[in-house]
Amino acid sequence: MGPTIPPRSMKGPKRRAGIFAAFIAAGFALGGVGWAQQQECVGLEITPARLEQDLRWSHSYDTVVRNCTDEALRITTAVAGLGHDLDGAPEFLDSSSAEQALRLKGGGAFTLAPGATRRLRATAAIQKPGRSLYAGIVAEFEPLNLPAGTSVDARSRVAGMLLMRGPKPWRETARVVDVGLTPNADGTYTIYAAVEDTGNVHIVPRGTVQVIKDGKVLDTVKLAGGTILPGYKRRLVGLWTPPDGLDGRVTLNADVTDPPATGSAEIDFSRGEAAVPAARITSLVASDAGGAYIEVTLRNIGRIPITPTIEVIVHEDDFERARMLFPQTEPVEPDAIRTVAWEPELADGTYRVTARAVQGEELLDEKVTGLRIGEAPVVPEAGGGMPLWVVALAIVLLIVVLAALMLVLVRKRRSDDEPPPSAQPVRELSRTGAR
Amino acid sequence: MKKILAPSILLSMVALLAIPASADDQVIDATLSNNVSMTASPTSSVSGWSLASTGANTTSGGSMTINSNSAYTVTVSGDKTRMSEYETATTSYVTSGRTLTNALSVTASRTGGTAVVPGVGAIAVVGTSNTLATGTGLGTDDYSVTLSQPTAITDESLASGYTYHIVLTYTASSTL
Repeated sequence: MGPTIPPRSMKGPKRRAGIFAAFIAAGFALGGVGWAQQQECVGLEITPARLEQDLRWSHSYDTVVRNCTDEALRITTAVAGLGHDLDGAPEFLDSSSAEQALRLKGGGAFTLAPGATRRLRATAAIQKPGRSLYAGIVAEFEPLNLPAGTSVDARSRVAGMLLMRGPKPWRETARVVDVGLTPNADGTYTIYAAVEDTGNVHIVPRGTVQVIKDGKVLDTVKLAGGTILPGYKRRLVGLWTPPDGLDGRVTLNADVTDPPATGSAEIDFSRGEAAVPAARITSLVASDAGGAYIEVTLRNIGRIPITPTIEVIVHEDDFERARMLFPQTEPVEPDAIRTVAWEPELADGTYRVTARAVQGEELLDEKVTGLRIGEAPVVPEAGGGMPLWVVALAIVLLIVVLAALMLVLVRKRRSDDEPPPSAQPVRELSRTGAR
Repeated sequence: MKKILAPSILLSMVALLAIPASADDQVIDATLSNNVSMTASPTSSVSGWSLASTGANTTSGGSMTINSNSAYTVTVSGDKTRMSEYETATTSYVTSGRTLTNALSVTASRTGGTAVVPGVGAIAVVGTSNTLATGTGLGTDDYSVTLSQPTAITDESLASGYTYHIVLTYTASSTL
């Protein structure tokens, strides 16, 4: 048996050197990360970009904007309602209810020097039981003394979003409002299931679509998941390549999970091409031009003529305030556009405008935008809530008072239990006797 | 009474401080805040854009760089559906003024960056908030922005002091 080599230990000078080296390495690593972050930060940065919070009536958090440019920026911050379109692209909408529910301290208009940060204290509160809060903090920025363009004036914004589920009970429910497919230029099809969140909190559903012909499953297409906000619809999509020369009727069966929902559609194919109506709302503008003005433009992006109905609905919070239908009696040819305009009578306030193109039962497209009529009310800054040390001090004082009260009670009970003064001489006597 | 009260207060405070230390395990949770940032380059506004009477009319809309440690979306929206008649002296739109027939298109093309999975630019037709670019983040994505304003012979030319005008708003945010 050869000599045994003692295990290496990290004691004494070696250990100290190791620790020192580790500190140096960590310092370099952190410095490197910091340097990298400094290099990566561009333009105006907002943190957090997305925050999800549950189970609280109110929540305070800090949003930080940082000027990563080498020039001063003029910044204007605002609270907006959060929505999204059928493709899931976020939209930041004028919303007085969002402004009331999410208060910003330190916001408004200000100038930020190069490299400087500004901390905004956001206090979000659930306004009613069973409600959630979906809002955004939008920071619009531009360099100082930038002349406005006469032809095209451009503005830049970064936005952070807040998804706050209120106290339970949560209703996580959904329904499939449309199933279909749209042709792509390369011969493939985008299969979709348009899902509406019918509950009171956001959901992240996913699912599959079975393509069935003559009772046989031709294919099963996986649909990518996506966040859907309450009251909104989103298309979950997947890619499908049909067999060459497909002819006849196919059935699309959509099976959505988290939460569960189903839907189906029948599509006719002729020599590999689907005869499906397809349209896109390419423009939805709602403005206050001395009164509400809403304009919707639709384009036929399919290969067959369509006769859709354009539906415009105006909501104030959860209440529908106005609705107008524009049925298209003349066919809209492929690539053709159709524009409709409407001037609903609306009182001062903020509204959510939804434009929808439908043909029969089929939802072709939907877009949402915000509308403010009248001047924006001045929202007072949030008080920022009670500092933590005040809360801690109050708890300590409460405990002290309770302890004092208990002591007083114990003391009082003891004094009540003590024998009457006439017994004392006896004790004294017995003590005397013991001596 | 005083002799008992003072130690009681002390004990209460010690007990209060000792409560968090009574747990057996040390649990450490760390949250990395997500952020998104965008350069101000799209703020390169366009003045004196000379449009041909008929044609595609493209011009640079500047460039933009997105840096994010989570998936992001860039959208663009306009204050009008079409470029509309605008008085340069008063810097305001002309009431019931003329508008161009076709909508303005904005195209983002990725030109570089450090993101491992490159972001994807898109063509947005101005009207509502249309998707201009999406990416998975974890680095930067550089895009060049091109504006395209098709014109037709039916579009009227304007008198001196007036121009066709639109305000574009670019918004970078996290993906939903």
